Amino acid sequence: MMRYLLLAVVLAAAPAIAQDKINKPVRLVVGFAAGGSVDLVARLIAERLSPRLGQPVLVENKPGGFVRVAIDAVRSATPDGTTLLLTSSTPLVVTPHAYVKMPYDAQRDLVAVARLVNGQQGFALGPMSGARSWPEYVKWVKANPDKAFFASSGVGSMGHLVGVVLANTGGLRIEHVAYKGSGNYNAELMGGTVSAGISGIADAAEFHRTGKLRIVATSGAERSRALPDVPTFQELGVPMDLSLWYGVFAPAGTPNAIVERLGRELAAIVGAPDLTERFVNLGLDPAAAGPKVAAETLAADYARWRPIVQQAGFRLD
Amino acid sequence: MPGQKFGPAWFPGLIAIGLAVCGVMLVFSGWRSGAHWLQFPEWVQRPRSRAAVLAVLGGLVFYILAADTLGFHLTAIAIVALWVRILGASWRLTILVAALAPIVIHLAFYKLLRVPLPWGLLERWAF
Amino acid sequence: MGVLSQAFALVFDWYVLWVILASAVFGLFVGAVPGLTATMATALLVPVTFFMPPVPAVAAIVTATAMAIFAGDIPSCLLRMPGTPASAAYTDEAYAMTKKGYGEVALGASLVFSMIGGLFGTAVLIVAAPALAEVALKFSSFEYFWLVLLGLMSAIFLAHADPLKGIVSLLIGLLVASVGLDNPAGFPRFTFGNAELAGGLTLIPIMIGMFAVSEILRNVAAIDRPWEMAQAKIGNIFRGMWTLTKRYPAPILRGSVLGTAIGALPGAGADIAAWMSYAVSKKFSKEREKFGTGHVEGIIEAGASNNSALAGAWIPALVFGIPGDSITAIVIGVLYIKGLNPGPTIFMNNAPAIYAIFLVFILANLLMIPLGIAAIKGAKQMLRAPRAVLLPVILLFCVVGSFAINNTIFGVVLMLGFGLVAYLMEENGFPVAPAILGMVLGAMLEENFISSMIKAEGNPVAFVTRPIAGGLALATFIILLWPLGARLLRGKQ
Repeated sequence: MMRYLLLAVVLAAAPAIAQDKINKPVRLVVGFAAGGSVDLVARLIAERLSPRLGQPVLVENKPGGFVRVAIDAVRSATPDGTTLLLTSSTPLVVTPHAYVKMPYDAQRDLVAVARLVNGQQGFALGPMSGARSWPEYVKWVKANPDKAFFASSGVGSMGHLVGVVLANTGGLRIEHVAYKGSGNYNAELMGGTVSAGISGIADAAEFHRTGKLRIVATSGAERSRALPDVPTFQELGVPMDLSLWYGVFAPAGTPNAIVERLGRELAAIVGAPDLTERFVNLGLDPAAAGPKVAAETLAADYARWRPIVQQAGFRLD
Repeated sequence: MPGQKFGPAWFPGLIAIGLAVCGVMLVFSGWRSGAHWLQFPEWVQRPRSRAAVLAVLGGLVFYILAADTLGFHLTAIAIVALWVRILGASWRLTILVAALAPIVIHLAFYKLLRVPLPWGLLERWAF
Repeated sequence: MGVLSQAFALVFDWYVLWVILASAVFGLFVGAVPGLTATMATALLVPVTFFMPPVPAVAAIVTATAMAIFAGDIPSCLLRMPGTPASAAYTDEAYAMTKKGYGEVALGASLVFSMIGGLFGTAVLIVAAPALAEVALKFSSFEYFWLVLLGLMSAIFLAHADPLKGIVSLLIGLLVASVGLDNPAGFPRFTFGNAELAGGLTLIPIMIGMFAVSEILRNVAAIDRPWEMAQAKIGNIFRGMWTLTKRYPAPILRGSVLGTAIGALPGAGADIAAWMSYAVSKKFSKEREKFGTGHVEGIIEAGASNNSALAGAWIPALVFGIPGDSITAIVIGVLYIKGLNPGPTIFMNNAPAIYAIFLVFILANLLMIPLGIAAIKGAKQMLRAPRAVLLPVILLFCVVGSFAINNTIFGVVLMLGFGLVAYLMEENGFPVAPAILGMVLGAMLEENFISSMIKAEGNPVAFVTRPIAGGLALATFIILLWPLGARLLRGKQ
């Protein structure tokens, strides 16, 4: 009797168990060109996700419009777990508030699968200004207003917003030059054509360590574990708490079983000690969370950023 | 935004002006040399060529429309067979090529290069 | 000396050598299939290299890309279908040679001088990387703007038949490049609300369409004519290579130097190098009028250039961790993952690994000869097939190649659409090459212009005040006005 009951239970459960199986190669879409820090994180994740899913996980770069092209590609893909988006939270919770009309709605078009890491922006100085600290830079800007430009990885990026906030509350007039990802502007920063760059710490960390660039401040509430001797803007007297997180998302309509499975695997991957060390080196703090917490964070952030963006006058259209 | 008086429309606008100017110059020189306004290539007159070209174009359109539903393999067999046959091969050769080509592509692209070719109707037997 | 022997030990290990061989074959295949590029080969290798120690991982990528850039020349020469964008610069020239029965000379030249270019680039990388990297950093958006403009001028210059039609073709290319969201303002242009168009019109399917599909259409339309498959025979590939070396030392050197230099500039890679070298070759050639009719000089120069650019791209990549081209952008990521952080520290902390990489570069370029010969002979065999079999199979490969870029059917749509456009263009005497060049360089031109304008606060004088920018600007104006000036001078006589 028990045997048949057990068999019945197993047979009943089988479809449910089988439902979280992914049968085709998985595309992990990234909104920037190959080689940047988001791309790097994606490749690290893909490497470890592949054996867990038993399918190849391939990173697909779809740059353009500050992640807009990638978001479009993912939200219109078949919701069967084979197309995923890896992005920072910025285009999902910050950028939308800066536009009157948005072609996508993160909470409607995507389902959060996992939160991976937290990150913040670093304000990196190149040799152009000769400044080695924030106060020195402020002095230089005041003396050279027509040369004060900062580079960011795109219109609507967090770095762009940081720059705008600095202009408002920091009393610092620096003009924005948008590039496509940090790879393009690091050369100019080091070459002395642009005085400063604001983007994820990872983009400048290695250069900071070798002395080619100098990160003089970070944008979050606490110092980054990767750069323990770099003060936050908050400490320097500029009130600011602008941080972001990286997450993985799937198109809306992806079956729950698959979302749960992916969330579990991703959280496990981020928790692994060797990856933790890599992430910290990149200025990213592991903050693994599954679908439910990720979705809640997404919703909470979306509400939180609206007043910040509006107060900063961050308007892009 | 500062400096953005050269907005997104500036570049295409410049190109459009360039094209317009060149277009006018070309039409002018063409008109002066007495060329026809519209001329069909001479192969259009020959039925075999016409059929072959239409088959190629038709096959491509068919692939675009049907590949996702029918799947790569079935669609490829169909269009390759059409093309090989209409270009003059024997039935034996047609069947041989139409059978082999999709397999080779499957091995090279799907297996080796991991390109997700659609399975379509054959989804159930996907490997 | 200990470092060097350590490096040798790292490379001359059965596993590493086997990886090099396998990657070479892989690169050969990827490069030879129109639609698959060297960058794709690199991206595809990344997951495979995850489980390898650093030296074989990097060796795989170095070898595969060196092979791929050369292999793109094989279908380019024999079928007028460039396997990679870098080959597109001299496809017509090589194909013209094949039609005249000199296919083996074109391919042999491409092979031998690619190797020489690659070795030259490697030598520069080994000897002068840090110094050159510093110079490369001096390039800002102002310099890039003029460089790209120079590159585009070369297109007009290359249109040997009718410069006006060449300009139109170029403008079409630039127009195609402006479609999408990927512009400095992030503003959707010509997208009509379509998600596919928002990503822009991808180069590769268009290139396949414009070269391969239009050529197939032409061949199919001539179905009732006898099959004059261009290269009747491919003889000994090396016959005459030494003669060529003696006859054209300048193009070989120029191509290698220019290629390495352009590769060393962040963001400019083998394809741009090939185009510019081909144009330079024509400009400085004593047999200028032969270009376009099947003349080997341009192929020598451009072939050397694109392989040396591959090596050059590693200069900023290794010294600063700044990618010299799209391939090294991916490689830098791999280096970080393997714990080989690019930058000054890499020469200190990981000297054996770096020297090992240099050794692999040399090996890969040398390996090109035997494998290249095998590939060319293999291609020759395959081309013996009747056209009823050959054309459909090639077309199927084109379809899948176009699909594989973005894994959407839109690639095939682009291929078909532009195939028709190119057919119409060429029937009416419009060259296709400038359009492709426009697409390759269009985005760079606009970005650097806008970037520069923002930094200059709208003041155009800033474009010429920087020394290098000023020099490039001067070169551009000279090239632009040269034909005009020459005609005026001739008129006076």
